[in-house]
Amino acid sequence: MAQLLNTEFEGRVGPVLRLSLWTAIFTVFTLGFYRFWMKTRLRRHFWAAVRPDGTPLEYVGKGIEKFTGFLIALVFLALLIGVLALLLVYASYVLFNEDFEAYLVAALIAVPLIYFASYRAKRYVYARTRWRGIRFALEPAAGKYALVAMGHLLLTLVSLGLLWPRMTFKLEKFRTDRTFFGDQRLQQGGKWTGLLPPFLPVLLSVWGPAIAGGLIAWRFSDMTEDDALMIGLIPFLIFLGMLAALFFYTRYRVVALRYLANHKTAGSVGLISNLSFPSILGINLGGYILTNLATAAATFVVGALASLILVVIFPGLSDFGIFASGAVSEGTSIGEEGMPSAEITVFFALFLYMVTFLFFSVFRQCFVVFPTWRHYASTLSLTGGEHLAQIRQRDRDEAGQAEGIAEAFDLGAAI
Amino acid sequence: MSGAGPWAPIPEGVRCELVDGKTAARHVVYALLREGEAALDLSYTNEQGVELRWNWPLSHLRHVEGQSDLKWGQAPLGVYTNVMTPTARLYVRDGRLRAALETDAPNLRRKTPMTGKGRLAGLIAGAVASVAFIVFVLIPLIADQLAAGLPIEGERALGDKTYQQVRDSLGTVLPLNECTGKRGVLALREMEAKLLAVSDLDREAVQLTVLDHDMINAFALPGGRIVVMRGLIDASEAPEEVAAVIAHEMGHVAHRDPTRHALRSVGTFGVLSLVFGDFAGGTVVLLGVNQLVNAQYSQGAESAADAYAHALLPKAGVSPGALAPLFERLREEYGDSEGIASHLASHPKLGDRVTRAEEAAVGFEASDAPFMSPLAWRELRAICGDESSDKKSKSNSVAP
Repeated sequence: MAQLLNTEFEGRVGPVLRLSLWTAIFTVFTLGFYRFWMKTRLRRHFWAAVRPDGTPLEYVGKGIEKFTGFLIALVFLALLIGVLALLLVYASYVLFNEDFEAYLVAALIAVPLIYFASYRAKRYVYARTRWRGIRFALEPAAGKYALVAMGHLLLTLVSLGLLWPRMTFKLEKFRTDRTFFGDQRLQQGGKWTGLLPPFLPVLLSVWGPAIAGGLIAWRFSDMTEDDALMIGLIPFLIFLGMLAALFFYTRYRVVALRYLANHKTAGSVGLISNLSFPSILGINLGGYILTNLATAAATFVVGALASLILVVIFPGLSDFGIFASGAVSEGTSIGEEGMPSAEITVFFALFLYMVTFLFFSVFRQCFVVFPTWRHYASTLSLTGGEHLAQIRQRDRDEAGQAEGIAEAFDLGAAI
Repeated sequence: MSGAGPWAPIPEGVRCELVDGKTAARHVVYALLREGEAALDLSYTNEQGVELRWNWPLSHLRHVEGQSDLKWGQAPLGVYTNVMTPTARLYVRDGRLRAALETDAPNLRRKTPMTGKGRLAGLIAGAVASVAFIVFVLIPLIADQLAAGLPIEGERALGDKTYQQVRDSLGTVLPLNECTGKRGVLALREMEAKLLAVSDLDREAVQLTVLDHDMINAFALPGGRIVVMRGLIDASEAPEEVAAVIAHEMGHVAHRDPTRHALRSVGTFGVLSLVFGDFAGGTVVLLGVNQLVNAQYSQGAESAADAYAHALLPKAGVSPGALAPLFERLREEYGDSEGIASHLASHPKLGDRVTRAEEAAVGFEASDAPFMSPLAWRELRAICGDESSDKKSKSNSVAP
């Protein structure tokens, strides 16, 4: 009697909107320092909405853990970013008279660090996630993970992208095989070649225009007037290729996630995912349209209210009406009679910018992230539920420094 | 399987779900609230038919953080734990039992006391001190060392980059206009050559540029580019006033202040954006460029640049006191310390600088030849095009 356990999703947009709005406002008013608590609260909310077999997931992380982890990482990173950036920019200007090379070297240093940080961040989140009272865990192996990732990245580069799905698979396997639910180790089954078919269209949309463009450029290198049209085709081809690549890569991500989920097991317990690419595409398209509309509307309302206050203080602005705050932020007529000074201009430019940013992140949370989670959760089932009884609790993993470095790079920005 | 199974008697109490925090099995338990004893009895019959009982005193019951008001469809879902077995969870879907627990259990909202407050305080203090040390001591120290060793080509490239950033950030849609009125540029070159000839700088060390902006401001960039805002030329009543400001900026160039400053900001901005996170994206960048334009050098660097100007100006036939009238007018308009509207006005202790400029001017004897012909001065004032210059000079002019 293999038990199939479905996942319920209990959540509404209203509470998500309320929570993300007030935490975002708090974050702005604390100059960003509330962000650790904001993320913690959002996670608790999102975790509790996901209910495999009706039992909510639990996020037991604390804002203060994230904050102290960030403080420790900050000292290390301040040295790295402050001093190293300075030295790199200097060396770059001495050697090349430009700073492009400095950014290149900085990126080369940053890439393994990002993999390292993302592994540690995952370890913290897993260690603070529970279901049915049982802890999840990820074994500490961030350094090795970064090394392995670098190797795969190199192979992918050398193979002109062909081995990208292999990297996706191997890195996922690296993490999954070190993941525990209670005392039960998870296992990633399947083969990397399973991810190749959905990746081929991505490759073709990158390689195709590249080859075609190269051919055109080579064939018409001694160009006459008539050939100008053919050369003009190249940017068009590149644009088409990029558009197709974006579409197929989004599809690849969804299909890969589904394949990898369907081949994960925890002992005799398995996963079934029915993730659908059209749904995800629809959620993203509709979600971002809604997000932008709502952001524009909300920013307009706040801008109009601010204009009202400005017009009362600076009568010279009354011609602008509800657009006064916009005019001020653009620096119209600074310092003239009855007009605001430059400081007020800078302040309003900042204010409107922050308001727009804040609303965008809040609405994105509600209209894109939330529906995506709902879709992920409600298409997920567990098989072999009767074997869950054999899984036993594990000890708590301190996962010290929480997300530390990842915090600074803003990895996993959503939640 | 004797007592269990479909034929077993239904136990007394309300059907709930319990996980014990030891295994991932979820048990169906029957909960009975004993009002008199202020306790919750939980009974569960396992697969072997053995009945297990737990007794949870109501005072031990706690909410699970973040799950105190979960919903289950339209109905509330109660999630409780026992302070003695904090990984155990009791899920109550029965509305009446949940309501009873919410009113009867006294310590539901009590949280585990926070530990390690001292450690936390120490950590915060240590982090703040370390970052402050890096930003205020280490980065300036390294930047000063590096600035001295940067070859002039590199310095110019750095200057060109910052110049573009300034133009981009001050322009509304397009980058800020560079003023290239033909005769105006000639007048500007004349002034540049005159000042350079009497200075200890190379002939190519300084390049004057006028940007079309209302700000009463002038600043030096790495590599010797000195940017004069149109607002400054409009606000000046004589070419000597502009020359005096430029001489001051040449002092900064001679002392390599802009290069030091640009290198410092490379390090500092990175660290600052780290501290404040990405909560508002480019805000820090915005502030950074703003800071660059209103470059606040140290009091010492400003005094040194003033001294440089006071020594240079007499050689070019300009009184060091030429700075004074412009400052006086700015002071009347903006006050001594308020008003970041202009870079010059924001320099600390404007009054002191006026006094020192006037002191330096004592004993200066003006030559008969003017520093710049009235015609050249008129052409310089029109460098950004006649129209804008006329309009602005009206609104900015100070009482005659």
